[in-house]
Amino acid sequence: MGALPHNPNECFYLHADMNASFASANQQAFPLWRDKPLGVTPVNVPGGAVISPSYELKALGVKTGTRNRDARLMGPGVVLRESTPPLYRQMHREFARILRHYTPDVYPLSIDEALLDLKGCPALKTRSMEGIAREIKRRVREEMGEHMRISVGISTNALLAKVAAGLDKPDGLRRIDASNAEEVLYGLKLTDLPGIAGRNEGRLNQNGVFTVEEFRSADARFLSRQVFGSVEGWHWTRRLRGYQDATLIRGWQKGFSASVQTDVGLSRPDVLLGIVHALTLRASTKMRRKGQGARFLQLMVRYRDGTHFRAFKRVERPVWTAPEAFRQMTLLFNRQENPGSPAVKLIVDLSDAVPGASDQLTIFDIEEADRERRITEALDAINFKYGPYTLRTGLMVGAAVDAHIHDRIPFGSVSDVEELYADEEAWAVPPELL
Amino acid sequence: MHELIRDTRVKVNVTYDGVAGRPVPLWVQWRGKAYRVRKVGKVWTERRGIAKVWCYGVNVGSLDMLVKVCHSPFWVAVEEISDGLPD
Repeated sequence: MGALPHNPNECFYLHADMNASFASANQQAFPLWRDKPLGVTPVNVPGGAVISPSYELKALGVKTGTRNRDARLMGPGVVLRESTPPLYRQMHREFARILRHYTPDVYPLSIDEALLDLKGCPALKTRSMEGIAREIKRRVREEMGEHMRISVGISTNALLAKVAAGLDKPDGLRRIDASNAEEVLYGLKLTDLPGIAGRNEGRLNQNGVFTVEEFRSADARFLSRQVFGSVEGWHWTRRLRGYQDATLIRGWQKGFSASVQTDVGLSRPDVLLGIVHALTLRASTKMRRKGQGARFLQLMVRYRDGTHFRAFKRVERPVWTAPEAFRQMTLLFNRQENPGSPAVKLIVDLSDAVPGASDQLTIFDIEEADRERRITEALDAINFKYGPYTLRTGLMVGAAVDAHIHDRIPFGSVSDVEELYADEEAWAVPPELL
Repeated sequence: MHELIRDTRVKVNVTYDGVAGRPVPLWVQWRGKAYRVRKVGKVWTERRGIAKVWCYGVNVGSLDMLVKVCHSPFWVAVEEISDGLPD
């Protein structure tokens, strides 16, 4: 396998990535913020984090994940503003509509990036891959706004297309194929490869692999048996040589979580429980949309004095319905040793999720189980149509809870993207192509 | 300066853009002053329950405003205002 040559075939994968998407979208909407160091944060409190810095803010050294209090100190004129989820959803839909003109095989990887498989598409008869990329870039500027920029990468597989898109930001266009793969890849760090971070980098380093060159030229058997301990090593050997895996998008995920952070300590138990239920509803809705149920439930609370509380429970039958999830989370919540202590962060985690949980029936309390199931389906259908928290339980009602349950935007996650357009026609084939 | 104000004592003069197929604001009358919309940065929509709200990021010269218009039930509001300078 070590002698496997780089894929000599033509490039058909195109990766399009919006540059500093949330910040650019806000700069597009508010013209006075253009060319200024603007950062977008979900909650504008000192302990919150910047999730999308503009390029001007990046130049000051602010990265995704920098704390708001640090970002303000890194340079003069830093503007931080809270995220505007409906605007980003609109941007995503417009972006999707443009991409859909070229191929039906558009795979959204997150809210601001997508992969296009252009193999056999009519668009390629009149234009080259680069021609299509330039046209997409032009249309983004004309149809989404003059401040919007995208980077495009072209390659023989999804991984290298993503790497290529990240090479020349902002507004870049790069191709990685057999002619330049070694030259481009060997100039990168291991962590520049999508999927190599933290633990995987540690695994590679432990086995004496420190550069992309060493990684790419390593034997597949060594990678699969010694480094990754699974077939993943074999996949990496092929990916780095430009071959595409059979699957592009993962079908199911292991865990679903939701969290809230605040700078004022919350100590009223009814408000806290209301927020915990709201978070449970958010996480379990995501889970149910995937048709999965959780077997491991966890609640974490961080208090203002720096201490924290963690409670978890493993259940035999996967939790699927909303009432059951609320019951279980209430039990975990009641285990707190010092319930009056002001809390600053709450995390609800539903993990060890298994597919097909909704089909599992109980032999006890069939009527009750059926009733809960129908309530859950109605709850999800209404909230899906009219927006999150339109229908909620009594505990979640009230200004104190409302102030802390924001509309969140999925950022950087493949699994959440489906929420954005499941009820939209943005991804339908445009009429002119029918 | 960047402020969330949520002021509904506002009037918005809107026309219809036949090419884009959507309404666009021309003037915003707020706190006794009329502002001519110089540039519409972006138009998007959001949902509040069953109501559809049109959101406009507009520039009126030295200020940027986030103007929201809902047709049913009818209301208009200036939700955010910014002069582009830091807080």
